[in-house]
Amino acid sequence: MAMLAYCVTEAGPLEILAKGFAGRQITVIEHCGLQCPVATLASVEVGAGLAAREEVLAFHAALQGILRQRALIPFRFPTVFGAGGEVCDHLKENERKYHDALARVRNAVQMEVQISFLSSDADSKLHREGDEKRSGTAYLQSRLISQKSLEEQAVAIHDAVAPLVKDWRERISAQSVRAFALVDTEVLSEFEQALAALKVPEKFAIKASGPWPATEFLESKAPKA
Amino acid sequence: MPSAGSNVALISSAPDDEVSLVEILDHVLNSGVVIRGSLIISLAGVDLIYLGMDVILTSVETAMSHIGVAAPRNE
Repeated sequence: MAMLAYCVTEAGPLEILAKGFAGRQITVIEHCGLQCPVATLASVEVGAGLAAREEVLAFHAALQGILRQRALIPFRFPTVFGAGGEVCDHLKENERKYHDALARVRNAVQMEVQISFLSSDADSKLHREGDEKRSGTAYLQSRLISQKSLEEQAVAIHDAVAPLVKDWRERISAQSVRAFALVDTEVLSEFEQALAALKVPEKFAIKASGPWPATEFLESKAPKA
Repeated sequence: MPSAGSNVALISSAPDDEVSLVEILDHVLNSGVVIRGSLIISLAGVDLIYLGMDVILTSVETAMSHIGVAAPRNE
């Protein structure tokens, strides 16, 4: 017997979907003040059925149903334990870590904001055209300017939503800035309205998504890039 | 000075469209606790540590092909 684990939450009354991945009933294992919703699988399902898109979406739907009630730490799909005892062992081994992380993100969800240049943007054209003719230094300088521009836009967005955000973290690459906002569920709609009302220069494409489990905030400090 | 516009796209975490689907797959397959080692068992003579990683890779490719988006490749 194998168990597909969905997530870890703090113990308490929890309404879960009757069925999740592969149409399997979801049951909750509780140990050390933590709960772990799981689905029991037959071995053949572990090998044959995990890749279907519909099954991933069923897994996601179950997580979202729980996230609407309380903060959770998801397991990366597909995480399979051997039996109920292994789940309890895992919860026991990670009890302190899970309790600390869940307390940090309690009553909050993660919203993501990705900032990039529109593909038709003149600046990005400038950085592509003639790259092969320019010196390496000039190329790197243009990349630096692009990245700085993205970072400044990220700061502007953060400033606009800062009163609604408990924490803010960023991952910066040459092409985009991916920002993560920890938002209290009580002000989630306000946060979304604030984002929708943002006026940003047309050269940028801003993509916001969520709510997601607050996986970027499970550690007390952002990991070093 | 560039003009200002409202080019902020809000994407729900509900699978309403293909863009949402890509976001969902990214989160389900790339975010969360990763269990390593002996906690993952073997079934039917197959090592699930290996099998699990293989399934993740397969599901990304499969999902991308379902929605007509090329899977990212490292070059």
